[in-house]
Amino acid sequence: MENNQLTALISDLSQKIDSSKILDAPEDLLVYEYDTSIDRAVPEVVILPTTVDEVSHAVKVAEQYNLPVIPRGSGTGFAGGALPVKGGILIVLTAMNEIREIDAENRIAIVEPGVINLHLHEALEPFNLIYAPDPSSQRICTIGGNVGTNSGGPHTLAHGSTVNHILGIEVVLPGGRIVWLGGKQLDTPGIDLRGVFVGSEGTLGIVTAICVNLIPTNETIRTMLAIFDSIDSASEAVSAIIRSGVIPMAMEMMDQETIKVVEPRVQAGYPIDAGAVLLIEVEGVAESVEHDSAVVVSACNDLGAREVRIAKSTLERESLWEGRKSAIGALGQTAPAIYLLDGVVPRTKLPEILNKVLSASSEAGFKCANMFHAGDGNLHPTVLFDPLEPGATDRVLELGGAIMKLCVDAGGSITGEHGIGLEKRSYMEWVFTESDLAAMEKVRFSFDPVGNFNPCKILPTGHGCAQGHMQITDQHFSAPGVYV
Amino acid sequence: MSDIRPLPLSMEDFIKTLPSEICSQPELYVIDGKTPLSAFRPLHIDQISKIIQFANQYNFAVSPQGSRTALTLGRKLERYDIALDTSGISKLVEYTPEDLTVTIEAGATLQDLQSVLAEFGQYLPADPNPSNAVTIGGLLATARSGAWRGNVPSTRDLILGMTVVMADGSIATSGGRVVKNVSGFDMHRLHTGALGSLGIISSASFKVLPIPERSVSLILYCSNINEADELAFILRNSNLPIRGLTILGSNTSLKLGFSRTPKVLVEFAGIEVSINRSIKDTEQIMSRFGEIDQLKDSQIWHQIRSFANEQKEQIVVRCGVQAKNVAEVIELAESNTAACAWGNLTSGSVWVVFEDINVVTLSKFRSQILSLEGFMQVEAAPMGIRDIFDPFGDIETDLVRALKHRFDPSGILNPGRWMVGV
Repeated sequence: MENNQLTALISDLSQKIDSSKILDAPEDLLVYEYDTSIDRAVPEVVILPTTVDEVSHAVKVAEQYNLPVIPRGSGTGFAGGALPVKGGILIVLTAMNEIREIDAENRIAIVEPGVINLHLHEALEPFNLIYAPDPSSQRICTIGGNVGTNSGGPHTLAHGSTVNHILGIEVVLPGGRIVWLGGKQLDTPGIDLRGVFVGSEGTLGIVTAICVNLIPTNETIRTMLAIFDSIDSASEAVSAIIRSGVIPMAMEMMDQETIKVVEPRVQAGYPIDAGAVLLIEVEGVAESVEHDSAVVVSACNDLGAREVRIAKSTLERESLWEGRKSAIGALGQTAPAIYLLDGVVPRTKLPEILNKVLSASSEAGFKCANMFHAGDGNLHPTVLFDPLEPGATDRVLELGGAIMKLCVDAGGSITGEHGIGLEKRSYMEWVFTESDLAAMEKVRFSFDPVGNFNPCKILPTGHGCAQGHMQITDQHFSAPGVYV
Repeated sequence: MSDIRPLPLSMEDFIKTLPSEICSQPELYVIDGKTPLSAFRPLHIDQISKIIQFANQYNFAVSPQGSRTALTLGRKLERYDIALDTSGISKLVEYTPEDLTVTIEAGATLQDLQSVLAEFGQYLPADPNPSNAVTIGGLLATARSGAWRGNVPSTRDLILGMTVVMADGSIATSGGRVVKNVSGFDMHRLHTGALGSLGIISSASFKVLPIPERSVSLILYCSNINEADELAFILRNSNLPIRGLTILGSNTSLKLGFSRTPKVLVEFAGIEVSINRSIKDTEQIMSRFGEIDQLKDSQIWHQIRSFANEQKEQIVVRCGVQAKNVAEVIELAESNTAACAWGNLTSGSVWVVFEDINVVTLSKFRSQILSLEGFMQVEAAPMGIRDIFDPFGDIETDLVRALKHRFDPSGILNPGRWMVGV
């Protein structure tokens, strides 16, 4: 963008947005050129709105200049969904972080999109209520971002993804129009625009307020750690538990590579020599928890568990979870970079696909750690690599594609909770036909006929977007935090 | 009363290209007194596609229908040329009990699906009005639910993917068959509740759940609606394994064969020991209230669902309000007219069956619901009412029109069900 045009843009934006909330200095913009994916892209302008009217104004101004608008929360997305690949105005919603209302009697809360997931959980504690979605990044990810990607988390097994917990959303649409989709109740009349909006990764509009459904905390929670010598037997235990008719709240697996990295850093109590551990949680009234945990223990023992530990205190329970939730961060400390994948397979195919993932990684010359939502068949292979090593990034991306293909061939999906973003657009054609994608495009353009809301995301084709990953241009980084 | 229209030549020629077994008698498919030109009962998705392609080419309006239990949900059809009976598309496509996933064609009934799943101790927790005779396509297109909604995951929560025949006859699939999936737009959520206006649902995949080891229904006697409200809240906050929690208005209570005072009907579902505990705890709670009866089976829930039946000349509405307003709305509905009402505390849904109500009173009732920040949707009503009363109230129109324009530019799929031209 030419300098005089940029000056005019800033001037138009500042008519209704305080200039302290508008960033255009190159050093400020660079802070927002990456999320948690591999690619990078710099916006023309960043704004940090605190009201819906400011978001609406920014959308109107962007239209005048035919610029893309890209919503962003904490930037924890792994799929490049928050990258402004065609430039434009990056709308960072982290300053809209108020929990506006907790209505315990009616079990709803109204929050702004920048509220950190964990902050909502903490605010609900005194009411004995929970907001069920709990992505592993909940300490930093925002509820708005969770809505954008329809996030999951360990407890998705019992409670489902974010969409099941969103009653209504206030959104800014093209033209700066502000509307509520859904409401404060379930199943509001009309076509379920709320349902299709959740998970649309900012391509249909920008979420500025969210009405979430809350559920009560259970009377009893029991967390168990089942220790196995191999991933195969741990996977079989997962199937055996489901087969028995018990659906735990969560069933998380970590492989040896992950345990070796996590335990020394977090001291969660995972045996360092285990082949795999399963973190299993059952909840309910005391009687059913007794029953369900007995079923779990017995299934694990039948499948050769070395030991099944039951957390005896809240502290011990939290410590077991701390290990799981810190796993990605811990892995990130062991290598210059990690590439975390997200794929889903039918649960019964877990052992087969995991073995193939490990073989593919080893053939490509990379270490791969696995920590994942076993109960849902949702894999997160994490490849450790050094982006400074010539060709390594390309080989990692190629490996990522090969792993996704394994999931697709097994009847699974290319993403269970991270979204398609930029990263997986080119894989969409492995899963969907031209006609499937054409139908999705109809939704996209019903909301945003020009295609300026988060362009080049989700759909693989069209509108001047290159296929697959964007080229890293010459003014960018050589490694996270290193400017050359 | 029905009208018989001459068959256009294009339609006559088209019918000759179809196997005779899929051509049905139009007079069996009358909607709002209107007989379609033709009726088809396809046996394969490709046949649906062919019919829709033809209809789109010649601009014939198509109305998909399964068990025909929701024909008066929505506005009167603006045009109606072809009845598309989906009941012939009813195969089980894939069922993997170990993965808790099932894919089934849209014309199968919910009852069919439950029977298949029950063999493996599983079920889809769906309890729509008026009964399990609804087809899977109908269940999804209407997004109806019952007392289980909000207590256990329901159809909207458990849908994994869907295949739809689009208005141009193309076939589009979304989602998948695994239990967790966020690839692409969730088109299946868009079609769920869209009343067949954006495409014809041909099959759907669901996550299913184990059938609870035991379930038990208790009827709790209350002396007035405030007591019923208080009791229902105590139960809701109890942590017990509740699957259904309904406040019955006095008239509903009477209609079910009980005394004419409000009641709370609760269903617990889970393992034996937790059910025993639930009964014990409820008995203890009831010591402060009134009598308690354990019902011998779950028939009462089916009975209640059947009240919301459009076959009669009655008006059925569904209100959505906050939990704290459920009892108030039941009382309001039953005090105004000869109506029966019941409401589910967890979902905030209140169903009202008006035997006889005029539009002015109905409008007033809607205003009262709106003043509680709620909504009221007409679920079933005679044509005369739907001619002059908006079934949905204030809904987002611009986006719905934009979607309709892109999905069905010729307006052949259930035209007018939502609003003029949509």
